[in-house]
Amino acid sequence: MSRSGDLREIRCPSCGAGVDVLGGGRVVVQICPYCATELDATANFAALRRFDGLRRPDTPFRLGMEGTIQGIRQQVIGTLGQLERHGGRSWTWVDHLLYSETHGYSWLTVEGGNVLWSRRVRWTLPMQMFTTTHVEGAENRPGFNAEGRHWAYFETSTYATTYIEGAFTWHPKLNDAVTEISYLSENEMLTVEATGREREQVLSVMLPRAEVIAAFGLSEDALPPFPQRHALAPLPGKGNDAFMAKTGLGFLLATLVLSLVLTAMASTALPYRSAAMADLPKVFDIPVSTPGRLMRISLSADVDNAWAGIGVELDDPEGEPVFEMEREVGYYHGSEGGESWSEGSRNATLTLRPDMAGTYRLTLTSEGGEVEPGYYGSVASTIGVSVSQGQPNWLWLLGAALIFGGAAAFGPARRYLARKMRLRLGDWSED
Amino acid sequence: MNLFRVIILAGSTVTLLAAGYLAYAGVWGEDTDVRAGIASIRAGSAGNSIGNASVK
Repeated sequence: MSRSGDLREIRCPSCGAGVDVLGGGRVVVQICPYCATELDATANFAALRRFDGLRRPDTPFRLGMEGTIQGIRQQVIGTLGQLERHGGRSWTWVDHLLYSETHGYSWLTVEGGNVLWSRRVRWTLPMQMFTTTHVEGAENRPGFNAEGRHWAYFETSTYATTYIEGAFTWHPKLNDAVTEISYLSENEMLTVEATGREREQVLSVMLPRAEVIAAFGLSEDALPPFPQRHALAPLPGKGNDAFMAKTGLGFLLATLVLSLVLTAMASTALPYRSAAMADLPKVFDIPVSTPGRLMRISLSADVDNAWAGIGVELDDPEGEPVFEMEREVGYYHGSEGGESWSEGSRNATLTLRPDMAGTYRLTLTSEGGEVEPGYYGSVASTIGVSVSQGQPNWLWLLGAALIFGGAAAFGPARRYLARKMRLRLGDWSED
Repeated sequence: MNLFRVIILAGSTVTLLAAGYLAYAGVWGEDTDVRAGIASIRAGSAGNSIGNASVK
């Protein structure tokens, strides 16, 4: 039996108040908002029972209010006050049953100043994920992929209804404990009742505060300006983070290109030359064509568990001394406790900035060397030298690359942390 | 395009150009001991102020 579709108002048989008939043809009960008597909508609104001592929870929504949510005209037809107690703490929220002539029934939830919109879905889900035995037995946070998203376990909630008014498609019960299990995706929550036969799947999203106020014609202060943190709150920086990521990656690529260009601009002033240590001192002419830019003198020696001192003297094109220095190369290796080790290097460099073009004169001398006492090895027999000019200082480009890389990573890192933080709002513990 | 994006684009461009110029010019790229050795030579010092550098 169903009620008449033409009926708009009835008189409560218990208190005599006029009660608007709300909802579509699936409504089975109506609870009088004045005397809390449950009326049977399928039997001419006969009184079934009365709920005593109900206190209306704080919510800006009233029965009969209408608004448009995501393009769908909705009417508030029912209100349920909910209470969850756990570990000495309690949480309250209000669920409003909504009815749309075109889309049927859905929920509007007011929780900590946030407004959520929930609707039933019929997806193919791994239902074992929505059982308390599975969640409690899992070693890692449960999760699964469905409908193109990844769902991470959020919480198991056991709550009871403490207030009822309006029209419903089932017989709501006061103080009956209901356990639900919720999973989170990027911006949605999927909730399934952990017990019961029907196990309805409910998908929830958070509605923007301003949108809700405008849609239902609420006053600006109807909802608190600073709602409590909620797992479905939008992740930070959606628009600018994407821009920052693209900009950072673009400039990172530009830095890489610039590095390649500067590498191509460097040139060889002296190709690799080698000389026997016994032939030192040895003189090399270095034609410098890029004065004012960096010139790098690269030295090498074939030392083995030994060091070699190489004297380096440079004279400018006018024959004036630029500097006279010494570089030491030393390379040691061996094995200890079954593991090989090595330290030092067979190479050394000197980087300077010649201030005039012309042919510089490089003189290399031997400044000694010896095998490390107690080790098998050999002193240098040959040294090598090469000189490049127009070298860039890579540190500046590396610094720029780090800045651009950091800018590109900032948004994703922030969203990653925000995801981690909001999952912490749930009840999963790694312990 | 909002002001934030304009600032980010302008800042990135300046950063890239500045880093490119400083890298090209090799600013702060000389070895400190070599630079000190050159400075000593120019000052007419006999050196002996740097670890393993003996300056004319």
